[in-house]
Amino acid sequence: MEREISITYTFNPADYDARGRKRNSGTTFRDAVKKFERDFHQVHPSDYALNLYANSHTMSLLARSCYAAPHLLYGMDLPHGRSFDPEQDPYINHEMDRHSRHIYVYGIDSAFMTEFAENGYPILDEDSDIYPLTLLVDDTMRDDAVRLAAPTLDDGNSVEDVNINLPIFEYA
Amino acid sequence: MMERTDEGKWHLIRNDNGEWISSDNAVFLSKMELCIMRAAAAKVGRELHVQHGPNGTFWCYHIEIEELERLSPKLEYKQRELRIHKSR
Repeated sequence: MEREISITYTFNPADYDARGRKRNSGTTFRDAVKKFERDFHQVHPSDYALNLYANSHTMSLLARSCYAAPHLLYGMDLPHGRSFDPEQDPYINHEMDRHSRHIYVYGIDSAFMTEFAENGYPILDEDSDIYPLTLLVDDTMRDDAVRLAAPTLDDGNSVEDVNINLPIFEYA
Repeated sequence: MMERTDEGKWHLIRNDNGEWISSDNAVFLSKMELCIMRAAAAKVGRELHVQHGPNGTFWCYHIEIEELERLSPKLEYKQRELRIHKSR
Protein backbone atom coordinates (compact mmCIF):
# COMPACT_ATOMS: atom_id res chain seq x y z
CA MET A 1 0.00 0.00 0.00
CA GLU A 2 1.41 3.34 -1.05
CA ARG A 3 0.61 6.63 0.64
CA GLU A 4 0.30 9.53 -1.73
CA ILE A 5 -0.20 13.24 -1.66
CA SER A 6 -2.38 14.31 -4.53
CA ILE A 7 -4.05 17.29 -6.15
CA THR A 8 -6.91 17.07 -8.64
CA TYR A 9 -6.90 19.61 -11.44
CA THR A 10 -9.91 20.36 -13.60
CA PHE A 11 -10.10 21.62 -17.14
CA ASN A 12 -12.70 21.94 -19.89
CA PRO A 13 -12.26 19.18 -22.53
CA ALA A 14 -14.40 21.17 -24.98
CA ASP A 15 -11.66 23.81 -25.10
CA TYR A 16 -9.43 21.39 -27.02
CA ASP A 17 -9.62 20.35 -30.65
CA ALA A 18 -8.95 16.93 -32.18
CA ARG A 19 -5.20 17.52 -32.02
CA GLY A 20 -5.30 18.35 -28.32
CA ARG A 21 -4.77 22.05 -28.90
CA LYS A 22 -6.70 24.81 -27.19
CA ARG A 23 -8.96 26.45 -29.74
CA ASN A 24 -8.41 30.01 -28.56
CA SER A 25 -4.67 29.95 -27.89
CA GLY A 26 -3.15 26.94 -29.69
CA THR A 27 -1.46 25.70 -26.53
CA THR A 28 -1.60 21.94 -26.05
CA PHE A 29 -3.17 19.86 -23.33
CA ARG A 30 0.36 18.67 -22.56
CA ASP A 31 1.24 22.31 -21.82
CA ALA A 32 -1.68 22.43 -19.40
CA VAL A 33 -0.45 19.28 -17.65
CA LYS A 34 3.00 20.82 -17.34
CA LYS A 35 1.41 23.81 -15.61
CA PHE A 36 -0.31 21.39 -13.22
CA GLU A 37 3.04 19.74 -12.51
CA ARG A 38 4.66 23.06 -11.74
CA ASP A 39 1.76 24.05 -9.53
CA PHE A 40 2.00 20.71 -7.70
CA HIS A 41 5.64 21.39 -6.95
CA GLN A 42 4.80 24.90 -5.74
CA VAL A 43 2.17 23.55 -3.36
CA HIS A 44 4.46 20.69 -2.24
CA PRO A 45 7.98 22.14 -2.62
CA SER A 46 9.75 18.98 -1.50
CA ASP A 47 7.86 16.77 -3.96
CA TYR A 48 7.52 16.36 -7.70
CA ALA A 49 4.43 14.72 -9.15
CA LEU A 50 5.27 11.12 -10.03
CA ASN A 51 1.88 9.73 -11.02
CA LEU A 52 -0.79 11.14 -13.30
CA TYR A 53 -4.27 9.65 -13.01
CA ALA A 54 -6.90 10.28 -15.64
CA ASN A 55 -9.62 8.35 -17.45
CA SER A 56 -9.21 6.86 -20.94
CA HIS A 57 -10.67 9.87 -22.72
CA THR A 58 -8.30 12.26 -21.02
CA MET A 59 -5.36 9.96 -21.71
CA SER A 60 -6.35 9.97 -25.36
CA LEU A 61 -6.46 13.77 -25.31
CA LEU A 62 -3.01 13.81 -23.75
CA ALA A 63 -1.70 11.39 -26.36
CA ARG A 64 -3.02 13.51 -29.22
CA SER A 65 -1.56 16.66 -27.71
CA CYS A 66 1.82 14.91 -27.52
CA TYR A 67 1.60 13.91 -31.21
CA ALA A 68 1.80 10.27 -30.14
CA ALA A 69 2.20 7.70 -32.90
CA PRO A 70 -1.08 5.86 -33.62
CA HIS A 71 0.18 2.52 -32.33
CA LEU A 72 0.93 3.96 -28.88
CA LEU A 73 -1.65 3.71 -26.09
CA TYR A 74 -1.21 6.05 -23.16
CA GLY A 75 -1.56 4.82 -19.60
CA MET A 76 -1.43 1.69 -17.54
CA ASP A 77 -4.65 0.24 -16.19
CA LEU A 78 -4.96 0.43 -12.43
CA PRO A 79 -5.25 -2.88 -10.60
CA HIS A 80 -8.60 -1.78 -9.17
CA GLY A 81 -10.01 -0.97 -12.60
CA ARG A 82 -13.01 -2.78 -14.01
CA SER A 83 -10.98 -5.05 -16.23
CA PHE A 84 -9.12 -6.97 -13.51
CA ASP A 85 -9.02 -7.77 -9.84
CA PRO A 86 -6.91 -5.46 -7.60
CA GLU A 87 -5.90 -8.40 -5.46
CA GLN A 88 -4.50 -10.35 -8.40
CA ASP A 89 -1.37 -9.93 -10.49
CA PRO A 90 -0.70 -6.22 -11.12
CA TYR A 91 1.61 -7.10 -13.97
CA ILE A 92 -1.31 -7.90 -16.21
CA ASN A 93 -0.54 -4.63 -17.93
CA HIS A 94 2.75 -6.05 -19.08
CA GLU A 95 1.06 -9.18 -20.40
CA MET A 96 -1.53 -7.07 -22.18
CA ASP A 97 1.27 -5.08 -23.69
CA ARG A 98 2.98 -8.20 -25.01
CA HIS A 99 -0.15 -9.49 -26.72
CA SER A 100 -1.58 -6.19 -27.85
CA ARG A 101 -1.32 -4.64 -31.29
CA HIS A 102 -0.67 -1.38 -29.46
CA ILE A 103 2.34 -0.38 -27.41
CA TYR A 104 1.56 0.90 -23.93
CA VAL A 105 3.15 4.18 -22.89
CA TYR A 106 3.86 3.84 -19.20
CA GLY A 107 5.18 7.36 -18.70
CA ILE A 108 6.10 10.66 -20.27
CA ASP A 109 8.88 13.13 -19.56
CA SER A 110 8.25 15.22 -16.48
CA ALA A 111 7.91 18.98 -16.94
CA PHE A 112 11.04 19.27 -14.84
CA MET A 113 13.18 17.08 -17.08
CA THR A 114 15.10 19.88 -18.75
CA GLU A 115 18.62 18.48 -18.96
CA PHE A 116 19.45 16.39 -21.98
CA ALA A 117 22.57 14.67 -23.26
CA GLU A 118 24.01 15.40 -26.71
CA ASN A 119 21.97 12.63 -28.30
CA GLY A 120 18.76 14.10 -26.90
CA TYR A 121 18.38 11.50 -24.15
CA PRO A 122 17.42 13.03 -20.78
CA ILE A 123 19.92 13.03 -17.97
CA LEU A 124 18.26 11.39 -14.98
CA ASP A 125 19.60 12.52 -11.62
CA GLU A 126 18.35 10.24 -8.87
CA ASP A 127 19.25 12.82 -6.23
CA SER A 128 16.78 15.29 -7.69
CA ASP A 129 13.69 13.01 -7.35
CA ILE A 130 12.68 14.01 -10.86
CA TYR A 131 11.41 11.02 -12.80
CA PRO A 132 9.14 10.47 -15.77
CA LEU A 133 5.47 10.98 -15.03
CA THR A 134 3.79 7.58 -14.72
CA LEU A 135 0.48 7.44 -16.55
CA LEU A 136 -2.33 5.58 -14.79
CA VAL A 137 -5.80 5.09 -16.23
CA ASP A 138 -8.59 5.50 -13.71
CA ASP A 139 -11.90 5.26 -15.51
CA THR A 140 -13.81 6.27 -12.38
CA MET A 141 -12.56 9.79 -12.96
CA ARG A 142 -14.47 12.40 -14.91
CA ASP A 143 -13.52 13.65 -18.36
CA ASP A 144 -12.59 17.06 -16.96
CA ALA A 145 -10.12 16.00 -14.28
CA VAL A 146 -6.52 15.00 -13.89
CA ARG A 147 -4.98 13.95 -10.60
CA LEU A 148 -1.29 14.37 -9.89
CA ALA A 149 0.23 12.46 -7.01
CA ALA A 150 3.52 11.72 -5.33
CA PRO A 151 4.31 9.01 -2.80
CA THR A 152 5.01 10.19 0.69
CA LEU A 153 5.87 8.86 4.11
CA ASP A 154 4.20 11.86 5.76
CA ASP A 155 1.41 11.07 8.23
CA GLY A 156 -0.24 14.47 7.81
CA ASN A 157 -3.95 14.96 7.17
CA SER A 158 -3.44 15.61 3.47
CA VAL A 159 -2.21 12.06 2.89
CA GLU A 160 -4.55 9.65 1.19
CA ASP A 161 -4.32 5.90 1.60
CA VAL A 162 -4.17 4.51 -1.90
CA ASN A 163 -4.35 0.77 -2.35
CA ILE A 164 -2.33 0.37 -5.51
CA ASN A 165 0.30 -2.17 -6.39
CA LEU A 166 2.52 -0.43 -8.89
CA PRO A 167 5.41 -2.25 -10.54
CA ILE A 168 8.76 -0.71 -9.89
CA PHE A 169 10.24 0.64 -13.09
CA GLU A 170 13.85 0.88 -14.06
CA TYR A 171 14.59 3.58 -16.57
CA ALA A 172 17.19 2.69 -19.16
CA MET B 1 15.39 -7.35 -23.48
CA MET B 2 12.90 -7.08 -20.67
CA GLU B 3 14.08 -8.37 -17.36
CA ARG B 4 11.57 -9.34 -14.76
CA THR B 5 13.07 -10.00 -11.39
CA ASP B 6 11.37 -11.30 -8.31
CA GLU B 7 11.10 -7.70 -7.15
CA GLY B 8 8.99 -7.00 -10.25
CA LYS B 9 11.38 -4.53 -11.81
CA TRP B 10 10.84 -3.74 -15.43
CA HIS B 11 12.92 -1.86 -17.90
CA LEU B 12 11.50 1.14 -19.67
CA ILE B 13 13.02 2.90 -22.62
CA ARG B 14 12.36 6.41 -23.88
CA ASN B 15 11.52 7.32 -27.46
CA ASP B 16 12.40 10.63 -29.11
CA ASN B 17 8.98 12.00 -28.21
CA GLY B 18 9.59 11.64 -24.48
CA GLU B 19 7.37 8.58 -24.13
CA TRP B 20 8.51 5.68 -21.98
CA ILE B 21 7.61 2.17 -23.15
CA SER B 22 8.61 -1.36 -22.25
CA SER B 23 12.00 -2.24 -23.71
CA ASP B 24 10.36 -5.46 -24.93
CA ASN B 25 8.88 -3.35 -27.70
CA ALA B 26 12.21 -1.98 -28.86
CA VAL B 27 14.59 -3.59 -31.35
CA PHE B 28 18.11 -2.23 -31.11
CA LEU B 29 19.92 -1.95 -34.42
CA SER B 30 23.53 -1.42 -35.41
CA LYS B 31 24.27 1.28 -37.96
CA MET B 32 24.54 -1.34 -40.69
CA GLU B 33 21.25 -2.97 -39.72
CA LEU B 34 19.67 0.47 -39.64
CA CYS B 35 20.77 1.16 -43.21
CA ILE B 36 19.38 -2.19 -44.35
CA MET B 37 16.05 -1.68 -42.60
CA ARG B 38 15.71 1.87 -43.95
CA ALA B 39 16.34 0.60 -47.46
CA ALA B 40 13.82 -2.18 -46.98
CA ALA B 41 11.25 0.31 -45.66
CA ALA B 42 11.78 2.63 -48.61
CA LYS B 43 11.27 -0.27 -51.02
CA VAL B 44 7.82 -1.03 -49.62
CA GLY B 45 6.90 2.62 -49.19
CA ARG B 46 6.99 2.60 -45.41
CA GLU B 47 8.66 5.00 -43.01
CA LEU B 48 10.86 3.62 -40.28
CA HIS B 49 10.61 5.59 -37.05
CA VAL B 50 14.15 5.33 -35.71
CA GLN B 51 14.59 6.30 -32.07
CA HIS B 52 17.68 7.31 -30.13
CA GLY B 53 18.47 5.13 -27.15
CA PRO B 54 20.93 5.63 -24.32
CA ASN B 55 24.67 5.66 -25.01
CA GLY B 56 24.32 6.56 -28.66
CA THR B 57 22.25 3.51 -29.62
CA PHE B 58 19.43 3.31 -32.14
CA TRP B 59 16.21 1.34 -31.92
CA CYS B 60 12.91 0.86 -33.70
CA TYR B 61 9.50 -0.34 -32.59
CA HIS B 62 9.17 -4.11 -32.64
CA ILE B 63 5.85 -3.95 -34.46
CA GLU B 64 7.37 -1.83 -37.24
CA ILE B 65 10.18 -4.33 -37.77
CA GLU B 66 7.70 -7.21 -37.82
CA GLU B 67 5.53 -5.41 -40.35
CA LEU B 68 8.55 -4.68 -42.50
CA GLU B 69 9.66 -8.28 -42.45
CA ARG B 70 6.18 -9.31 -43.47
CA LEU B 71 6.00 -6.86 -46.35
CA SER B 72 9.55 -7.02 -47.67
CA PRO B 73 9.88 -9.35 -50.64
CA LYS B 74 12.64 -11.89 -50.47
CA LEU B 75 15.64 -10.86 -52.50
CA GLU B 76 16.62 -13.17 -55.32
CA TYR B 77 20.27 -13.47 -56.20
CA LYS B 78 21.00 -14.38 -59.81
CA GLN B 79 24.28 -15.77 -60.87
CA ARG B 80 26.02 -13.37 -63.25
CA GLU B 81 28.59 -14.30 -65.82
CA LEU B 82 31.27 -11.75 -66.46
CA ARG B 83 33.14 -11.73 -69.74
CA ILE B 84 36.44 -10.04 -69.42
CA HIS B 85 37.93 -8.78 -72.65
CA LYS B 86 41.59 -8.18 -72.51
CA SER B 87 42.72 -5.35 -74.72
CA ARG B 88 45.86 -5.79 -76.69
